Amino acid sequence: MIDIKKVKEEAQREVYEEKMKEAKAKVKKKMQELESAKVIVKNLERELEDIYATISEGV
Amino acid sequence: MPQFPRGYDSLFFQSRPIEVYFKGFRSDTRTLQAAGWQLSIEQQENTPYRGYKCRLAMQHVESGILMYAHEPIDIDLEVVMCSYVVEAAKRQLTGPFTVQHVVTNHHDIHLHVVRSGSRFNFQAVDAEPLMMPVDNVSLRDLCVFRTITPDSEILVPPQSVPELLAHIQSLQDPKQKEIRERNKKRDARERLNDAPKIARVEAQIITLAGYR
Repeated sequence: MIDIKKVKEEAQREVYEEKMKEAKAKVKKKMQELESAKVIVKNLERELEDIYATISEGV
Repeated sequence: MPQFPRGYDSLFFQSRPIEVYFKGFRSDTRTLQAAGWQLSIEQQENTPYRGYKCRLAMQHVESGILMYAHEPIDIDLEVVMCSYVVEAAKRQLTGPFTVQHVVTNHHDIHLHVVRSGSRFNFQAVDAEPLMMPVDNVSLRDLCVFRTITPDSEILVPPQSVPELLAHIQSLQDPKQKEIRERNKKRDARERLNDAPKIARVEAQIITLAGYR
């Protein structure tokens, strides 16, 4: 005899887990993009600092 | 604050002052506006590429006077807007407006006006001259001629945000490498400058063997 209640619970849990997985993947992807963008900004800041230093050295 | 009409048509009014006459008095749109007159023009049927006729109405709220130049003048856009506008101004090719009707607060002027949409033909205008750069462009440069053969389709490779970010980073890489090298040299120089000065000790070995 199959326990319908148990099946429903399990199915619901799996649906929830799938949704969680999808959400996590989305968040992860966006975080990675954000990290990349931060690296780019950091690089630009470094370039700016380098320009300041170069100017102050009279180069 | 009046809403001045925007666009090509209204610009003629700001190009240079147009003279306004009234029974021996002479003034111009700019001077009148500066003296507190509120100006309004009515555009009449025109040939859009060339110009149009217009009438002037104005009021001086403080004095309670309303004036109306019933006789329309020709506005030649080509003359007013083109590069020889200065010459045109000298020759007074546009205007003057001649005021025919003047009433005070106790009277009014009744006109037959045609409504188009929600606005009257009369529109408030700004008579303050406006400097507008006019470029001398060749007809060929205007690119007004349509090509007969259809333009080949420009294909832009589809790129996602992560790909573009990676591409930007790769473009930054050579510069970053240079900067790192320079920073290393700077650090080395600074370390050298900051290093404590070690006193040089000069030692001299003297042998005492001969003094026995």
